[in-house]
Amino acid sequence: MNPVVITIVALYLLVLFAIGMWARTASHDVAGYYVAGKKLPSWVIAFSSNATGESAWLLLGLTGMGYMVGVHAFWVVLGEVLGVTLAWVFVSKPFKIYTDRYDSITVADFLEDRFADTGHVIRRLSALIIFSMVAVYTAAQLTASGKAFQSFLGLDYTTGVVLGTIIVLYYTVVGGFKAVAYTDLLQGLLMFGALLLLPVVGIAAAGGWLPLMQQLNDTDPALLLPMGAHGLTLTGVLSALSFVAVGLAFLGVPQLLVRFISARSPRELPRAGLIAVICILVFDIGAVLAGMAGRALYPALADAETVLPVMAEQLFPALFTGLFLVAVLAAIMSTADSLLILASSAVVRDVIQKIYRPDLPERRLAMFGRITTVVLGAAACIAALGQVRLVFWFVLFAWSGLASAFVPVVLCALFWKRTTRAGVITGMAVGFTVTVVWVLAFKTAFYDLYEMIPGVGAGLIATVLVSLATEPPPHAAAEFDEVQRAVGHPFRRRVPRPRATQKKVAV
Amino acid sequence: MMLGLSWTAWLLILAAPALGLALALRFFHAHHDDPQHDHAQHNGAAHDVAQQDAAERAGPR
Repeated sequence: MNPVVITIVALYLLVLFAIGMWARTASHDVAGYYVAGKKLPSWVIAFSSNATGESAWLLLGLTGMGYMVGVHAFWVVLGEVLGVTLAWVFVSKPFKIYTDRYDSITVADFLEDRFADTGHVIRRLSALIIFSMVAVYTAAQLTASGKAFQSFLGLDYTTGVVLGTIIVLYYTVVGGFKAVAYTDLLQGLLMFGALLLLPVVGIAAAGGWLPLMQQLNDTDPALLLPMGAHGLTLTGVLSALSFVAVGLAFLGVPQLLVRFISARSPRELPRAGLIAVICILVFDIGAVLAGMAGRALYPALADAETVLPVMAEQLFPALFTGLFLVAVLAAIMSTADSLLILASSAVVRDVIQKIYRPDLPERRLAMFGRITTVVLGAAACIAALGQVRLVFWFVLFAWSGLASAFVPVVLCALFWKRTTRAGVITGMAVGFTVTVVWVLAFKTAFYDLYEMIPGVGAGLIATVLVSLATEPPPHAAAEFDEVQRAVGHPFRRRVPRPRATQKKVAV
Repeated sequence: MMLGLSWTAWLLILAAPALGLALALRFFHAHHDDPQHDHAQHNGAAHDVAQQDAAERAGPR
């Protein structure tokens, strides 16, 4: 084990502990623990949303994809960048205005108030879906933590998983969402730096851009084709569509929508959106180009998903190898912490506080939140210890499960005033079920089409059809129009009303 | 071929930055100093608008 690498990792962990301690005073009540009291600035929510959305899959999975399929992997970049952009431009503002209006701190809060769901069916369904998907997703991240410690530091797998769990649990439990968001900012910056540096050094090591393209062409000409080895066939088109569909989730998965809720004002959103788009461009383009450079430099890797650790070790001095390990850990932890706090909010806020015990004091509920986070983290740790193989399939499945349940209903709730409570409940159930059934029964027989496409499609159709057959709540249409007026046109500047007119009215 | 890649490959590579930055910049310029949200901290934005609209409908007295 290299002492320089160990020192860098130790320093990184110390900073995380310090952030956890610093944020602890803000986490004594439910809103403090789950949305940092809605006081976060644009930089924090921008980096936090991207660091949460992009897990170890970005640094190990997407670089591996660039290594395996070359330019074809840019379909993922297109999907993710469009997903992030459309989410900030069209979803963030109406969602923030609605959730401020309802004083919501979870997506289920918003849906319940928007559709007057007094029976709490939406809350129960939402908690069930979040809980099951987060368990899979977090376990996969902790598996990645074990692998990262193992490959970079030579620790054994079990120690790596347990160490990763303890660190994430410490600052999440002590500092709540504020610690999660600020550690996400640090982690996002580390990922940004790593994915800016790695492709530049990789391309330079390959002799420059043109020699790199030449080497890739010599290895396999399909690496430079947009439609990859399949060309313009049904398989090629469905593969490209599946890659683009990865980005759909940015429009409505709860762990990202919570970032919009936690902004200190709707005014933070345009700046945050611009930062988030620049950040995701660097993340994704950097990962794919690094993978392509890695293919030219190390064409015989047994596992494409080890291309980043190999490049970090071979192309950089020990100091940078340590920083790349920290960047991988950052990607893992920034996702795992957000998932744990999301699942905790689904239990404590959505079920305990809003359904069974609204009388409990805030401090006690926040304490329940901490206990739930520890229990969930421990369960994910145990699952990760039993699952030694790193399977990004789990990450993409959980990502799709959450998106299929939430994206269609959130979009309908924000943009279609005719949406009803029954439509939302059906849409969530159908979207989620179709995702699971597609993976189990149809995926392999259907060109490996990513489950996100049938899941989100079925959820949207079910929401619309059932809404058309039922009646929306009586107050919803007027409220919808009010929010739309507050949101304004996404690309048109609002003209400020002259002060004189306002004074006149007041008189 | 341009810089070792076909034009279709460049189209795919450049589509994400072009679309993403164009939309995000337009949104930023339209809303970053939105007067509507000057005092819209919590539970305020939609109500502010509703009050302003009601005041406008009532007209000068």
